[in-house]
Amino acid sequence: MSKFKDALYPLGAALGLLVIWQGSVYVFSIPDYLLPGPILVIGEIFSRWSFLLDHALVTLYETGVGFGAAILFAIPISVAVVWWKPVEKTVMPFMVFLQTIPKIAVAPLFIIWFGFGYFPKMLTSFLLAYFPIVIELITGLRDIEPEVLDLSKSMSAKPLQTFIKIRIPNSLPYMFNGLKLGALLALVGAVIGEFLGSSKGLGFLVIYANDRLDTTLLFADLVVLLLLGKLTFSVVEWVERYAISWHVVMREKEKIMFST
Amino acid sequence: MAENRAIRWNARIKDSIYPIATTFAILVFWQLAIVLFSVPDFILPGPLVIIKAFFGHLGLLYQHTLVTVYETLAGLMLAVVFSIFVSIVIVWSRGVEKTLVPLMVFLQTTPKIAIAPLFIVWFGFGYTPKIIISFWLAYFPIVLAMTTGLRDIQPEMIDLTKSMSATTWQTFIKVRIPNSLPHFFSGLKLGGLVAMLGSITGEFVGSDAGLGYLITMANHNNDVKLLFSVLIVLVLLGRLIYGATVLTERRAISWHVVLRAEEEKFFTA
Repeated sequence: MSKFKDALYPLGAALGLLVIWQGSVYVFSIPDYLLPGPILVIGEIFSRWSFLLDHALVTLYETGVGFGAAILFAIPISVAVVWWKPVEKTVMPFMVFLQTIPKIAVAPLFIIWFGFGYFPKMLTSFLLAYFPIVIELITGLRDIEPEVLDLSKSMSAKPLQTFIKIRIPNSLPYMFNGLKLGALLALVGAVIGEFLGSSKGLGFLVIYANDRLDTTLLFADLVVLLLLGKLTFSVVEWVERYAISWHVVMREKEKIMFST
Repeated sequence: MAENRAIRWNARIKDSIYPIATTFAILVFWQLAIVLFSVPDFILPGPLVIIKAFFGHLGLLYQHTLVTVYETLAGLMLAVVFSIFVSIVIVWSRGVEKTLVPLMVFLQTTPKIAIAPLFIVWFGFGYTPKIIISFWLAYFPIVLAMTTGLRDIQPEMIDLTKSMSATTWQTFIKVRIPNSLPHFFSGLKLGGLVAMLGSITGEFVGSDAGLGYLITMANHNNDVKLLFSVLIVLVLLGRLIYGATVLTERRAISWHVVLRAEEEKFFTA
């Protein structure tokens, strides 16, 4: 009941904003190419839904492949980093360094190398999603409470046993944190790749609508993108809830994620 | 103390041998591969050619760097001013908190950068839309961190100030604001990085100046050497902005325990 009540505030504010928006577009007769009213945008989504869906599927495909590849790469690398000290010492400084550089700036290079197809977008998507996943995984696999490690030693567990029974379960909440952020960044990567050079996808559609001053389509496209972002995020959250329902993290409040 | 410091520095130098050696090996390998397979410059230039191009284009790079720095800093400043104001209002009023925080958290999990082209439609090709995009991206991490810092005080602290009959205002100045500073700086570090991403993406979408524009130009001309030169500048600029924030943090809240922690995790695009 209180959850429902709490949701009233933001929903009310959002609804209020929409009404003010529609009202001012109507009262000041703002032209559609500057700011279309919400009713017009919703109408656009419904009348061109198959067009929007086509482009959404392209973006979803690029995001999915980039995200999947990021997971596939992140797992062996994080295991290697935690298993061998020299690998950690070599690889970790790079990763920490690379975090603070603008990786999207590399996207144009991928366009030069791999053309205007899906591949460069998948690569950008991969590049952005990879870092949160791998670094969270490493943190989760590495930072075990010393008491737990002492316990497993005192019970003469083999390193492999410690790894499977202690390190992997410990890493899961971290991994899901990385996955949630990674899914979002994968989408951002695909969209920015499409900004730079493409003929399909929601990012392309943003530029396409922009060039034609079709602001109604631009808004419709942005709404679809927002929903797609919410969808990818929620899918990971849903898997998390099933996979680590036992974990204390699940009892905490919603964690704040920062993405671009 | 001095001895401890020396030992720490020794350890740091030893630890940095691994990445430096690897970097060096990669560069040598890269240069050799370019020479051996005679890869053309428009596909992948070698490190030597890139360094030469970097110094050759120094004037051009400098000129466009200033534009990007200006947009980034202006956006970041706006975000800071706005965040401080909004977070204080949020902490003052329960109703505003209940309304704004869920909306902001919701927007946090959407690809906010996609809205960039809209600002170009509204504000043209000048600096304004890039400043607004920078602001738009930097605002969220800063305001959410600031709100957390002002709001989440240990209950004991609040009890203490109450027992000493401090006014709400005094509690705010003496307890809430100091408590918020580490959070603020944490938000500022991420904010600075995403502000730069914002101005670059804005420049990607429509502009005639700035490093993002230079990347687009180099891309159209297949000038991969220039592209790599811009990347070098962007890496340095990112580190500079981050480093400047860390330095300010160290000065401003040298008393705080956070400073003893390792480098924080920041995941940006």
